[in-house]
Amino acid sequence: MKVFFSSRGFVDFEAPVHMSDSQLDRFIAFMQEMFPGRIEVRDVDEKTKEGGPTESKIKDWGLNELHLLVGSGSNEHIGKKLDRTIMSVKMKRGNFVPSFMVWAKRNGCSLPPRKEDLKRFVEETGHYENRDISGR
Amino acid sequence: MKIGILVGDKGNVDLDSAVCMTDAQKDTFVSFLKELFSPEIVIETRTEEMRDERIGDKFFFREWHNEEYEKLLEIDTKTVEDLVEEIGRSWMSVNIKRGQFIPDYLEWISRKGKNLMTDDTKKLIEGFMKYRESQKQGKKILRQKKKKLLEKLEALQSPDRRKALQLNAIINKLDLKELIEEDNKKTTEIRKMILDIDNKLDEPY
Repeated sequence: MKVFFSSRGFVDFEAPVHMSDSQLDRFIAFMQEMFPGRIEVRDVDEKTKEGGPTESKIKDWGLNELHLLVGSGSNEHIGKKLDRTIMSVKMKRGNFVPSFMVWAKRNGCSLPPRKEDLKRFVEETGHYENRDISGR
Repeated sequence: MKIGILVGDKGNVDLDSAVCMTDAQKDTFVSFLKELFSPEIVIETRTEEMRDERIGDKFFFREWHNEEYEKLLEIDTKTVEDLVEEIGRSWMSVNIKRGQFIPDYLEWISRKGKNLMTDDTKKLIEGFMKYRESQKQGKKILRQKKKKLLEKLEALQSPDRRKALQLNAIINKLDLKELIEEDNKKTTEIRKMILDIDNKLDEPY
């Protein structure tokens, strides 16, 4: 994240920054200490990107599909193969793959991962509770 | 004068305007942010133009920087949740960006015969980022090449070209049909080269 500063002494964020509750508390406390008596905290409704209406159904991810995600196939290739949108593949990959990799490294798994490892990961972490992991 | 901290309903935070600070205050502010987030991703940038729009005025798009991409690539040690706090972006934006990046990274690792589980993560990331940068430079050169080819194609297909061929045929007693045929061959070759370039440009980093 960029922190802008000007020759006239003004400082600003490049853009709004995402903070967790604890980060926000710390930020407010810091600013209150730095600028005592001057800080006002206000709630704001954010503008979000307009998303169109969607009729997409949520499809569970089976073991074979998860196995494809941890490989090196492109999102486009996997989307076509599994009849899923590229966005859904991206979103699943963005979350599932790192979570699995962290677990795999900790458990000494090799790459490419075996389906047994994936199954163990899903069962142990409850990552996909109530999902069918029978190998669909 | 009051300083407003604006807290958005989606977890984003902003100042209500740029804040006037002494150099010492600015340094303390930046140091604090480097403790609050991952220090590598907090970058001081000099500018004379501050933004007017604040959170709630519009949807903000924040450009992704190399330092953040490097964080995204720590896929064997950092979950999305870890990164949200480290780089100050929403879960959704980190998740989607990672999903975009991961296939290229895994493919590069596989192609290079590296091992995500055993090789040094930092070295892997450095290697991939260098590769990505060289791909970017490569694409820039390809675009320049394409531009020159398009200019050549336009010249070959212009009405003046046909007149020039006719003149050449008359002056040098050459077969006009053969000259046209040669031009057509060149046109086909250039079109093929442009198509090849387009295919390479379509490849991800």
